[in-house]
Amino acid sequence: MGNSLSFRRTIFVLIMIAVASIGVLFVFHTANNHRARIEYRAFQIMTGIVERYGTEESFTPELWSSLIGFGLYNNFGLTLYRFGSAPASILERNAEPGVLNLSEHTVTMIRKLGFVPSINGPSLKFRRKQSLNERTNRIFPHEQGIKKRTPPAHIRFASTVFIEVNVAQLIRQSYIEIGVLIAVFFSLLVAVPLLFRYSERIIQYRDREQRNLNLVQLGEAARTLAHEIKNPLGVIKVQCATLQRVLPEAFHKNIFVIGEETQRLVTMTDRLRGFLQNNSGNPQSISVPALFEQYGIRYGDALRIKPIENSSLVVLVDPDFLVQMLDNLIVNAKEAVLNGSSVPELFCTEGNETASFSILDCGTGVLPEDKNHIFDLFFTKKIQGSGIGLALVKRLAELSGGSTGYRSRKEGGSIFWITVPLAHKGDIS
Amino acid sequence: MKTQPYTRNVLIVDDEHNLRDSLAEYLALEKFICSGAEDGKKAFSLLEDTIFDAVVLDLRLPEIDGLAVLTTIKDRFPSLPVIMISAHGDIQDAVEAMKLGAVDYLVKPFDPAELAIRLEKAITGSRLIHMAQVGRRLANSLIQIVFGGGHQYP
Repeated sequence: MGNSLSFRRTIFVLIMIAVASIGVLFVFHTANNHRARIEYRAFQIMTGIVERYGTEESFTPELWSSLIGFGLYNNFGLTLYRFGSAPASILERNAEPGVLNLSEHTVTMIRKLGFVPSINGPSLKFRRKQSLNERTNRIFPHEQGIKKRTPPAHIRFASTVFIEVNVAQLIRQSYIEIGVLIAVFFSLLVAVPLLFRYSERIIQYRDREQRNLNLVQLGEAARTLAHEIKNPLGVIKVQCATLQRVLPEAFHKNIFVIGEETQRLVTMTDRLRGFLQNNSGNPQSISVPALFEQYGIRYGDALRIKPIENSSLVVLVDPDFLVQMLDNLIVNAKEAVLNGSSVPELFCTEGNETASFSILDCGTGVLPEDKNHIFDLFFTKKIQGSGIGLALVKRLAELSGGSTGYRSRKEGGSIFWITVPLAHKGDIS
Repeated sequence: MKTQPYTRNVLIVDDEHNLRDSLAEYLALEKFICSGAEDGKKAFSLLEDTIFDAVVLDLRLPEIDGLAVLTTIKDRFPSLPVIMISAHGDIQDAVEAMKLGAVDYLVKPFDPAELAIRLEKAITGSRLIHMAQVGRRLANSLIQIVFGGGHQYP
């Protein structure tokens, strides 16, 4: 997955460099072709005007706002038609056909008639063999179907055309086009990496979602398994009880072992089910002094309970959750003490919004390399441990809106704690 | 209809045949006579044919749910004690079963000896109630014979 991502990134960077190079070349090329573009546009206008002149009865060159001058001349350079700045005689300009003069504001063009190169403009793209009517229809589609008159006689004698066009507008348009191109290019240059990053994020989210979905399905499967396993366990327990009754006493020890292991499986299954549940249970107001009193009776001398300063301390948590968490921690603390040489201590401290229950032991402590894993599911260093106990404590604490933690004691041993929310006045029934 | 007044007839309703048979085998050691049914329909059929002293009923059954079977049993045989068994440790199920008339609730996997004790208690209790009802009816009949109509045993 990581390799695939870095490969995609490399490919993307290469593509971006290629695109940037092509873009820069394109912009330079476009800028260099600025003059050619203007010539080309002027030539398009000239061709259009000549076509129009040959087909319309009332030719009105004023329609072309950018047209300054237009003239048609015979072989001797004498005027056949003249408009605006067109010279009376083409010889007067002392200009040869084909010459193009591009000044700051105007473009002047003199061309021989009868030679029409292929024009690839968007509106003037036609084949050489098309008739004049077909060409005109293509240029002026709204006039399709109207019968065209025969061109005036003098156009047939015309050999040269003169045109002078105001190019300020063309130049402006050309600059705008180049500007737009540059803007679009740089927008793409900025947008593409953003889109790429966004697509990467979408892929990451999708992967994470898929992983979460897999985990949910795994959790559901484990929950179903933990439920369904109870039936065979039940059968084993009943069979054990039956065998205990019918077999001679010599086998009782074997049956006892089977029963004990079955009970271990039952406990593990129950814990796993507890770990896999995803609701906060049934939170109730629990008086901590009353709870400690019960624990004093339950554990007797096996647990030292530190008196609570606030006798009205009440927490809001599912009672089963709290008992399960405390019992797990107390059992762990008792197991951590070798030969029962010392007794674990239970105490509670009150915070702003939470109460913290701590179990202190003087046992062997946790190895430094295990500190980050002790709350992981199935992590255990005990011979007969399931690795569910502390993970379950953490899970139940989180479901209750609290947290859990651990620290080593300088004197040896550990302190494990859980925090649970304090009950507010409205919560206390 | 067959009657076995001095025995303890128990109907075990569970779709897991191994559990059914194992329980029957164990309860037989405790002098219970057990019959098995894998679903609600079979259970109703057996209940129509035989008089049972108690029913051990699984909460999860195919086709008809255990709670629905319990409701029907309590409708047809109100004095028949029913002990529910379930793989769920959900207290809500237990409360619901108790509301519908179950006398007890055990979570799988349970100790069969405990089931035997609870069955014994349920059957004894049911018989005591039955005897009390019979005694009450007898007392009422006697009172009406001696003092005439209108009088009843308190």
